[in-house]
Amino acid sequence: MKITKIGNLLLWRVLTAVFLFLLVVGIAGSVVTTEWSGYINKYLNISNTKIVETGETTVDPYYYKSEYDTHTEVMQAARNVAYRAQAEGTVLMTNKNNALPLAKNSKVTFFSYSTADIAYGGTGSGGVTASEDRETDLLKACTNDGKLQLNTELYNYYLGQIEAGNQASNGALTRKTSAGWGAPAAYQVPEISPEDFPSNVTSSYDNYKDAAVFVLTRVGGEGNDLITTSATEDVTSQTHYLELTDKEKAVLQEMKDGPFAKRIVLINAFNTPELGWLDEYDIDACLYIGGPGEVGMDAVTDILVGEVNPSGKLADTYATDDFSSPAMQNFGDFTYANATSIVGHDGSFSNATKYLMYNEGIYVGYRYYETRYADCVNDVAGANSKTGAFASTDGWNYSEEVEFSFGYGMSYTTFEQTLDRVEVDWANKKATVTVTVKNTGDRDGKDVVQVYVQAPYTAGGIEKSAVQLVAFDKTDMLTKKTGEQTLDIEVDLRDFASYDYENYGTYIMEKGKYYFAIGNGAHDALNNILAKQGKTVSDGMDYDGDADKAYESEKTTFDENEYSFSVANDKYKIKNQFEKTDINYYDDSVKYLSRSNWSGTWPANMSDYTASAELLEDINGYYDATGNYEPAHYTPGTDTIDITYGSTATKYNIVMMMGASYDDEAWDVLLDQITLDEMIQFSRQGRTEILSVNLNATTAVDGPAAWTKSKYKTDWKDVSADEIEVTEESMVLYPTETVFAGTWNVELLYEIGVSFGEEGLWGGGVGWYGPGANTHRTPFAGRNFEYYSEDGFIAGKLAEAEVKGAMSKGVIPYIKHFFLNDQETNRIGVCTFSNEQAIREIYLRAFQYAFETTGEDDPSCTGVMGGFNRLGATWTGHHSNLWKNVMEGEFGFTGNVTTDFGQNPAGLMNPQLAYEAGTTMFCTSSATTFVNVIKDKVTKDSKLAYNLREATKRILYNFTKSMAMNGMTSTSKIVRVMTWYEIAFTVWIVISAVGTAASVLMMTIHIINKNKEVTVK
Amino acid sequence: MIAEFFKNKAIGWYLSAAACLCALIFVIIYGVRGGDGGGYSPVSGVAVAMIIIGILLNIGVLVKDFGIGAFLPYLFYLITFGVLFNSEMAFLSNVGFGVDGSVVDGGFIAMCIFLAFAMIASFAACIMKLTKKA
Repeated sequence: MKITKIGNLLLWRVLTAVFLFLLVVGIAGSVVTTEWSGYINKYLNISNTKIVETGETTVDPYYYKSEYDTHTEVMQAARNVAYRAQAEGTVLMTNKNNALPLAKNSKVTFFSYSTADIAYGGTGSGGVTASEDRETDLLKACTNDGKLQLNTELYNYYLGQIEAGNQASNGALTRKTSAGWGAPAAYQVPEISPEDFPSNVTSSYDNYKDAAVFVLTRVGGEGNDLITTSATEDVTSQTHYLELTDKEKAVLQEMKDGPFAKRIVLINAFNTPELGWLDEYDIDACLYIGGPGEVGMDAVTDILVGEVNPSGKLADTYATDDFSSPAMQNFGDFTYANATSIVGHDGSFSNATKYLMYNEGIYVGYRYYETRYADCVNDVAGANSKTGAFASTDGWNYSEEVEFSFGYGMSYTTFEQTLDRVEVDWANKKATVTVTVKNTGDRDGKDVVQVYVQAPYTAGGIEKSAVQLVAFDKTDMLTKKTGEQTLDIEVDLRDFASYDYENYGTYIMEKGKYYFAIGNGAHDALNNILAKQGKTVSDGMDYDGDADKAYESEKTTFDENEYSFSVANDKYKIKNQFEKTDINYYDDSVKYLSRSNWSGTWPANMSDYTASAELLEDINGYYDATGNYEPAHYTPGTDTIDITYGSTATKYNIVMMMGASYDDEAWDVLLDQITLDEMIQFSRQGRTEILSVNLNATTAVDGPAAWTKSKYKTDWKDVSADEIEVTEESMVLYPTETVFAGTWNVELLYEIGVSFGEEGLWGGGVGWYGPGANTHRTPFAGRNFEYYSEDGFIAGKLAEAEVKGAMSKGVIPYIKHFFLNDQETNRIGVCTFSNEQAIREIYLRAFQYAFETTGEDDPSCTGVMGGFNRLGATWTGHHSNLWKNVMEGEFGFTGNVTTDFGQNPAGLMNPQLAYEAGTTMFCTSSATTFVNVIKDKVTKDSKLAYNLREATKRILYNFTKSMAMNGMTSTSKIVRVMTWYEIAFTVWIVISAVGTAASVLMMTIHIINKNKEVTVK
Repeated sequence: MIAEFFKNKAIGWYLSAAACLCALIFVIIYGVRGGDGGGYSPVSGVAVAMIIIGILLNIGVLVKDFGIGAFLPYLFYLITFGVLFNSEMAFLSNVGFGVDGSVVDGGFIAMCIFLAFAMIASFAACIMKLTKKA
């Protein structure tokens, strides 16, 4: 048959067009999937590298091992730990007339829309949807073991309303399915008015009247802070998200008016809702349950029926009015009055136009409320004045301003704590506080011993909180009536040294009287100190303290260098590193809150601040509007680049470097083997394989409440592409960090860390973006659920324990978001200003213990994620003082430094400056952004070339201390394999290319033939 | 003469002209948005170069139709799409993750829509005849 008889011209034109389209789409798809392979492979739980053993070896290639044989075992163990966290982190806030525990099998009516839609955790990158078959909702939690009989008429009514989408106008989605991004819509309160309850619901109360339980839910999430204005149109009286809506009030009134014997409230929130209404609605008991994760509700109902005795303590202050903290005066969105003077202010650098000032200084959370209270009792400094009073009827009154103090928590039993002795060794900077705890009640239980210190304050001198937490410990389970335990609690005096940024520029410890005290929370401890100082209710105290629970110790000497040297390196002098993070560096415009004059220094709202010329210059110096990546603050290196890339002279294998010190010369030999392209690709989170040194590809995954989007492997030992099989079982969703903090249990946090480590081995990955350790500076920060507390000390100690637990299994925890990233509004690039005392004593402290190393037994965290924000004018990733002087110099940190997720090197994260400052990797998925910039510059800029090599070394060094080495021996080889989608795209491209070629050929033949026919005619 | 020029044009020619116009609007929006700066998606310069080549070829084909000529602008519009798809994945994930202040602006959406129109119109044009006599 003649070829011109096959088909016709139209057919071949159509086929050419179609095949061309398929060819281009195939090529584009192939390129995109290759670039995003790290993420895709993680999502699909597959790998594109396999390990080939090339020699005979008897070495056990598993350096970090699991304790479990099957994935169901490790999952169950993780669920058990998560349950214990909830059991110990739930806080009994009030319990009038021993309303709790309820008798087992009590008939209970649960109120509020949230009963059928518990918020298990927050939203955003840290948001996780629990496996439906595994999640313990309220119904399961009540019916498990016949704990409670739940009023199903009301529960099913709520469920029906949710399933019917009847709340769509308010909430759009249920919280179970809205674990996406933090957004104003998620912050609406879709409560249902009791007026709408059908009669079968209201008539059911009489059958379930042993107790009424109201679940108050408030969510939080990445990307948006909580709403400080009315959340929904139909809420007329609500002024912000953390107070009750009208419909919630109506529901509470329904409870109050109902036939119920007891009224209980569960706080299913990650922030601190206002609770001044508890008495108004005759609430008998209130429990903080936070975000319970997939199993936490089981622990909550166990607490409700007394199977578990609550032992949690609050890690945040509950103010009567959430706007009353001085930090709230400067929270939210602030734009420089002269923002138009900032480079790219209307474009890609627009984030540089935002600022945030921490004018409250050190007076964050309880440090403010308790210090002001102490000054009220002492009647000094205008503490009683109306300034800053939000809930007081006359002047400033602690009892009216604070509902529940930091550290407070109750139990179903009673404990007696006796301060046996305090031994202060000023010379060696240590104290030992010995406390005996006795269970005097009739239930077994655990108690927390909290040790606070009051340092001497001189008006006009260094600011000092009237109390600060310096140590804590949790008892074992003490048996009822007789259980007793004596705890010797070590206090490191460094933890209450003052950072004097104005005079000595380092930590100092002044002379004078210091008070050590114990108590059920900061307020109780302060009252004990005040009692020791002779104060009583007649002086304005809200109750008399116990002087026997406080101890006075006088420091009689002063040496300005006594506290000025690093713990990690006693030769390293600590000095000011954040002078430009203090706005007063630029124009002395801020008066920080001082207890020397409460009303005169109450933080001004800093709206419409005009940046000085020097500040503008500092900001603008980081950006280059030409797109050439040549910011003023960076000078490219002009030295000859003497770096060997891709050497084949040696055949070092990365696993051979395990145990080698960072200074070992062998690193240079190994680094010489790596090609430039491998180094550049490796800059993307260190995910890519490096074939030249036989490093397997790795993954890093979001936390901190889970290994998000991760599933268990069938065998933890399978690390090679040809071995890995993945189950359908998602990894466990733990409770929120606010619940972890409520445990006040360092040992349990270590176990939680180990559990995350186990899950890492079973498929989570090498890198884990958690835990979060920023500070609850205000109650409205969207991401407070990912952070522990308002207090840097407890946050720091818990973070350290969790990190070390995870590291013990070979995980690299990227503790985040380091630091001063304490709100979501304008988080990307906001210029954050604070004085160095607050930085050191609060915000840095929350991370410090995890980074600080005192030797092999106290390893430094192997990773950190820098925040999106800027410290003053400098983005965290560009802040060399932070990475070189504080982290490396003071803390001895040698871990990986990753950025937060970024795709635009022009906007904030200039790579040259970042490498120069100490950033070692970019959390990015695209191969076309950072990689292209580095590729373009690295051969012309010697500084960048050397910094890139150093960053590569740092990452590899930390990988040798991680599970990334599992499965490898010195004779192992990493081989690239094609994934199924790569094969599919290759086939697609080949077929469409052949199709295109054939179609074009046939079309051309037909056209020529047709032209011939025309010519002949 | 103009009437003579249009007399021979088939529907494919008008579709090809529409494709050219859409591609031109794409470039105009790109320029109005501030090119590769302006704080929006860093639209790939390669993509812009490809579409400009496509427009030039399109104009050429509109003036002088020849054989498989109508496929050339189509090919370059497809390549533009491919390059843009690749470069915009980062941008779209930025938007999804709320990174770098990236937002999907009206201009970006309009660019995508006009590129899609250009591809569809040029697809149809290269299947059909541009001139009645051809």
